[in-house]
Amino acid sequence: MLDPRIPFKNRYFAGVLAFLLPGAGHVYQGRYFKGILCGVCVLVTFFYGMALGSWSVVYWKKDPTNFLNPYYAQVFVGLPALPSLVQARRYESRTNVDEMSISGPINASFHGSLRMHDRAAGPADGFVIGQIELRPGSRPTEGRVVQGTFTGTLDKKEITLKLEGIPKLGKAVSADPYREIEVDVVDNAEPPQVIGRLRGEIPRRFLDRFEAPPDERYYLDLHGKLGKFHELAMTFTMIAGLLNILVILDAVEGPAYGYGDGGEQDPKASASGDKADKTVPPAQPPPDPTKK
Amino acid sequence: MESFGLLAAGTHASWYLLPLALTVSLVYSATRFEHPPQILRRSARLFITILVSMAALFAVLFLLSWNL
Repeated sequence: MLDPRIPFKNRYFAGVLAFLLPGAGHVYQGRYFKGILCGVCVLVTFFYGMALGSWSVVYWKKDPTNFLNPYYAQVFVGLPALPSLVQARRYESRTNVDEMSISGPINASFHGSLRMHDRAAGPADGFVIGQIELRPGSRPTEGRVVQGTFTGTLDKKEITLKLEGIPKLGKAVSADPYREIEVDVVDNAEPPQVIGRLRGEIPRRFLDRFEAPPDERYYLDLHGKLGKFHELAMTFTMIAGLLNILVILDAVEGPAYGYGDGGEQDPKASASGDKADKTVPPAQPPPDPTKK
Repeated sequence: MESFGLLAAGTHASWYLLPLALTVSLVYSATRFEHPPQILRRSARLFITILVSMAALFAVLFLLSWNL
């Protein structure tokens, strides 16, 4: 039975609000203390877990062999966990594959390695870090290619490389914060000759990696880096979701023991002989709907 | 932000029990009671109960693994 002292308003609407944003259902009902307390606790636990797991522990990936998918608990945090469903669709889309062209210009930081085909023709092989700039172009023999430059350092020495050819880009949507890229290094001759290959990573767009499922390689890499903290991060996000189930139920049905003073007695308090809290307002009979 | 996870990896996992126990006890008590002082008092009690239980469990496991 609902406690008449609690302003439930439309309690099912409050339940939906509580699901979408932890604590919002209580705030709608005017139960500000509980709303803010629950909202802060659930959201801080959820986002702390996400940060602990390098923002890669909340995602939806269909796995018929795994009935204990962590997302079944995480989803109850509501809106903060729902982008996973959209990202899973994008990740599994047929268009999310390695790409051999670019749709627009790329200007991003880059780190990776340079491998020269002919060491006499240019700089030695080594680790490069700097800025890569690519734009769509065309070549009469190969059609659509990319053209651009790399400016940065090769083993801490300043270097500028001319890039041209058919690139290879990793899939656009994935949890990995970096996206693989490969492109040919060419000389200054006309037509340009391929003298090496630049291979490395550029940052992935935030919207392409937030709550997206990880590739197998990145998943194993993350496990290797975080170890048991990967499971701990998963636990934080799952507990946040499970706690929000209690919050949703409280918004719809009210607290289990209420004010602990009336019809719904706190069994622990009665068992231990605790007296009812004197600061709690006394129980009132429910309003009679026939009286005006 | 990736470095946050790596930084946290330098901390012993047991310390994560404290914030987790705190949020669990606060939210659990908030869904049991309606009156704010009662919620805070009950959550403090639950928080201590969780810590004492975990410490007792730790002690038992520590003794069982003695000299292993």
